[in-house]
Amino acid sequence: MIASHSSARITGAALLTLVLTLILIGPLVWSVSPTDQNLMAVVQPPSVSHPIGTDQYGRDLLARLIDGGRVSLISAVLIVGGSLVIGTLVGLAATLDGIVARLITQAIDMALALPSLILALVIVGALGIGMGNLIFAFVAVGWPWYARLVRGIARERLSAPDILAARLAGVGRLAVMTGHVVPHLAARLAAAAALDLGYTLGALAGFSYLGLGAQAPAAEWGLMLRDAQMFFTAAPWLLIGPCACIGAVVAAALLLAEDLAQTGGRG
Amino acid sequence: MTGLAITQLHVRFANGAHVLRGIDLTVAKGERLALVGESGCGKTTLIRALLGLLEPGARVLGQMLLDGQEVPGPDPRALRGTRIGYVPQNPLSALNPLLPVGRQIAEAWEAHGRRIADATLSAELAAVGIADATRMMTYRPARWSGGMLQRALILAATAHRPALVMADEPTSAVDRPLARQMLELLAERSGTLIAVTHDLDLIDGLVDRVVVLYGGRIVEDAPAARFLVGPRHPYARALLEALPRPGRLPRGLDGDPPSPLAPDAGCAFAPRCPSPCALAAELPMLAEGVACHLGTGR
Repeated sequence: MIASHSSARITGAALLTLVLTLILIGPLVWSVSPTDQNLMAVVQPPSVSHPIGTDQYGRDLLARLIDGGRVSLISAVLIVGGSLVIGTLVGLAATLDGIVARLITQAIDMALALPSLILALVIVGALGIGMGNLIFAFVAVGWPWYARLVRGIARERLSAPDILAARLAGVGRLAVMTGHVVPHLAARLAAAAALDLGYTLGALAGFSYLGLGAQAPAAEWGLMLRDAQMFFTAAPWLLIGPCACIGAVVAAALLLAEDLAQTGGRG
Repeated sequence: MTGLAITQLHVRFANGAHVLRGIDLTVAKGERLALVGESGCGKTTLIRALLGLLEPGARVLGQMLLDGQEVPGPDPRALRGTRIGYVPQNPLSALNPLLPVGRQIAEAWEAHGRRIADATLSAELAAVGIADATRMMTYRPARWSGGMLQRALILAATAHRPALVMADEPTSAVDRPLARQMLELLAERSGTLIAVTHDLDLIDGLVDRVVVLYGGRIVEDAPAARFLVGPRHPYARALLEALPRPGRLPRGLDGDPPSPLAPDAGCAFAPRCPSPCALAAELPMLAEGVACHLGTGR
């Protein structure tokens, strides 16, 4: 337990609100272009016209932080959402009786045995560099975690007395799954997804940093860190924006996941 | 013929457990039967075999006929709730804790493609004795009492006026004054009734017949009036003596119930029987309503 329920929830929500405000409201208030270069003003420290400075091409860092955040967060949400949906369907299918379900379970275990980041690297290598392919690769390695979690929760549920009573009253398999198993997944999946969102954001930044995600001149938090690396001894402020944002989202995700895991989404 | 007819029913689980070992049981239409026995004797397995919902890998041998038609038949789901109603064991765990009770009781209708309006459901709940049903049905099970949940479950089990109602210990989770009420409600709402119960002191006047199950076999099958004053099988006598009565302490029964994994080797009750028997190595057959070498006068 990191902190008490309410303080974890309040801190997490506040951090997330802060980052979301920056990304959603930011473009309305700060209308500077994230890609306009000004070679007369490269690697400038924070000032009135550039609140967090400029990068090596004289681009406004605040504008890039806002623009890049949209790319980073949307990608992370797509990855977590895609993995969650596929994992849930596969995990539920793995609880059915019969040979197909056993094969699915073995497929999940095999997928989990592969090192996920290296596998994602191989997929991006095979498909080509780019944000779309990176998202696909992350979903391809992310779903087995959800599938295993869902299978575990669903199997536990399916042996509960109320499920037996419902089946003996004539409720069919599909209705039992949708009406009596899936609602019980929500709280635990939400906690797992919140945790995964933070992890994914960090991993995405890492891939962009390696040059395998968003491509210049697009802005993305990981890419901004990669650009900043060359100058960070001379201009450490280049790191502050993306580091603070990635850190804030990961911390918010951890705190909210903790809260969800403790309270099951209630209380 | 109408009613239930079970002939030589055997159920063997995937792990080799021989849970039911040749059950012969006929229940006439409208008859009310108490099925008695300790945990592990096969009562629940019998219910699940009739409804076609045994664990995967279980093998069933023998014949089960309900009103002349084979059950569970090729489509067991169509029979559950409609021709055979089921009242679950513990009302507190028999409903999904996350969903409103009304929605779950309505499933008894919806599972068979019928819709039930909220007003109708509320009236049905009121008819089984739920006060303030319109409001109560929107609450989750945690806000209901055990007795009220049991009433709602009895309603769900009898929603389609099934030919047969199977109740799995309907009295085990409610207070004793309530237990009698539950049995009365059940008897009133069902035609043919098989009630699994331990509460032998509560069934007087509510059931016509008592059937005692031991080690997967029927060991006594007697009219209730006769059974309650003079059970013939030593196990049935032990059951009655284990009941609390004014002026005497209940007597327990030593030893363990037979394992469903054990092979048939004579009388299953012999190791616990208070009257040593020279014929213990032989399997006693049900004759004159009792499966005991002494009871049949040999």
